[in-house]
Parts: sequence; C-alpha cells; structure tokens
Amino acid sequence: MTRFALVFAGIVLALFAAQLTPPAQAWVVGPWTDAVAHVATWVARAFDPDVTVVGATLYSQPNGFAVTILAGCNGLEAMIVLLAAILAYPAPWKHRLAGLAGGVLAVQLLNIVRIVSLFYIGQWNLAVFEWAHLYAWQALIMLDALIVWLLWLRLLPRNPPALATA
Amino acid sequence: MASTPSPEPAGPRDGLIGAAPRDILLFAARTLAWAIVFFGAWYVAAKPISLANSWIAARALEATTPAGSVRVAWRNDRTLFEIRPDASTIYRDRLPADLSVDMEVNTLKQTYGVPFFLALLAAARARRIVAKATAGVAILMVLAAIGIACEVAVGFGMTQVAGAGQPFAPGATAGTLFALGLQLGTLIFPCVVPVVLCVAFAGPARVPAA
Repeated sequence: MTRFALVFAGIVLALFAAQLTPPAQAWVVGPWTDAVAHVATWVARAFDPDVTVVGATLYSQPNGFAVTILAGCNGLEAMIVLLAAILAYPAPWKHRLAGLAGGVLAVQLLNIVRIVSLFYIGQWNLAVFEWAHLYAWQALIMLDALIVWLLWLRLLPRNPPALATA
Repeated sequence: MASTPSPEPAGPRDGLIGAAPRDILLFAARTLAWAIVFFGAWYVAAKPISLANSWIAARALEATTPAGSVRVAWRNDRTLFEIRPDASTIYRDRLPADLSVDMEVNTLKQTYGVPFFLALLAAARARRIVAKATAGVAILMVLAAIGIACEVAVGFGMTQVAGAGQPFAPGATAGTLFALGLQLGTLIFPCVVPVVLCVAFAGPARVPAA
C-alpha cells in the first residue's frame, strides 16, 4: 500500500507539473482541449444546430452565450489521476493498457456530458452554472475515475504473474 | 469445489478495493445520495468553514510573504483578506503607512473537498467512521488553507500600489511555487485527496476464504 501510494503520488505530481509546462500546453493540452470542444459541439449540434465552436470556445448563436474550456474542464486531470492509479498498481501491462483505454473513454464521455450540460445550464442560470462548474462536476468526474479504477481492479486476474512471483 | 465461509462474511461494511461490481455501483449511487446531503450542509455552513480555512491561510501568508498582518472577514459570500505589509516593506518601498491590500477570494473552490470526502466515506460505510471523518476533514482543511494562501499570495504578488510599485514581488521560484499551489489547491486537493483518503480508509474488500 505504501509503495502504491508513493508511486501514485509521484506520477500524479510529475504529470501534473509536466502538463503545466509551455511545451505540454502547446502540443498536448491545447490541441486536446480544442478536440474536446469540437466533440462537445458535435454532440450539442445533434439537438441544437445553433451551436458553433471557435478553438476551445462554444457559442450559442441566438443569445451569444459562450463557454471556454480551460484547464480543469478538459478531463486531463482526471485522466492523469486514473493513469497514475492504474500504473501504480501491480498488474500485467495488457490489463493496464486495457484499463487506460477504458478509463480514458469513461472519463471523456462524462466530460463531454459535463461540458454540454454546463453550456445549457449557463444559458439558464449563471449561479447554478458556477455551482455545477466549480464544485459538483469536479467531484463527479473524479468519482467516475474512482469507479473505473475500482472496476478495473476487480477485473484483474486474481494471481497475476507479477504478483505470484513477488 | 467446496469453500469454507469466512468468519465475517462479506457485507456492506467491506472495503472498496476488490469489491464486486454490484457493490461498486451501489457505492457510487450512495455517494451521489450522500453528496446531496453533505454539499447542501457545506453550502449552508460556507461562512464558518471558509473563515476557519482562511484563518489558517492568513497565518501561512504572514509566514511566507512580507505581510505584517492578515485579517479575514466575510463579505459578499466571499472571504475578504485584508493584508497589511510589514514595517520593513513599508519603509523600504516608501509605501503609505496605513496601506492595506484587500482581496476577495471564493474559498469554496478549495473547500468543496470536505463534503465530497464525507459523502465518499459515508457511502463506503467505513469502520470507525467518526475518527476517519475527523482525520480526513482535518487533512482537507489544511490542504484547502494552503491552496487559499497560494491564491491570495499570487494576487498579492500582482498588486500594484499607485506611485509605489509592488508591495510583494516574489522571486521566480517562490512565484512558481505559489502558482503551483494555486493550481493544486483548486484542481487536485479538493477532488483527488478525498478519493485517496476514502480508498485508504475503506481498505480492501474481504474475500471469503477459499
């Protein structure tokens, strides 16, 4: 447990610090955030053709309301935490990669729901938007990552080779 | 294949790690239910919680910045930090003797980890829940205070006094640390630490002996 905690904390801090650096912002965080905004716009357009996107900003053409996706809203933090938890736990690499793929999908699917919901909550009530944006959705995304990790742990083989020989 | 029942059969008070998928999903549902209760209570008690955290943050600011005294108050649903530079800074930078830098901070951004943690812990049905809740809340309050202090320090470092420059100009290292603390205090401490504490406190699920 101690080893897991140390490796987990080390990976989280290293990746979190790395994603704050200018190269990571330019080459990873920025393009990723733009991609998230475009996917969210594509989803919103399924029922609202008046939504447009410029960079990482979603606009509502009828009322001019816009939301910009910033750090903390692109799902990267939750992905970093999930990645650290999966890598820190002793498991075969095949299972780690499967967990990461499933985890990224689960986190980003919910993150798209978050962005689209916030886009419409903001047009309805800014006080509720702030509450949902700053507190509720942050916790929900991390709960999502926790549930994915717990399910992944459960799906691991009971006696993986790496553990059996330890 | 015969199996011997565990002396303490698996039940609702088992831990999270290794729990059955059904129990994990029930845990998620319970967390959402408890979150309504604890987030509601946290929002109602925002003022005392924020002031308690901000008092700790004020002491940290006095220790790490050229602030002679930092007072906190509640204004417009925000915490007001009233920062008075220390005497040496006022003398060196020829600042007005009664200079006070006021900053309003939404400290709820840093403290929502407390209701989130309590919802997770209640949903996990951990043993000795009161002791664990107390310990976890204490840890989260200190981390929230660090985040608040860093946010105020970053704002203090950007403050310009007309005709007298900056009362606080942190160096590159200190500035980076304050900025990192601000990021950690809003993006990591309140949402990741509650999850880590909950998993650690709930422990592994008991698997019936084969």
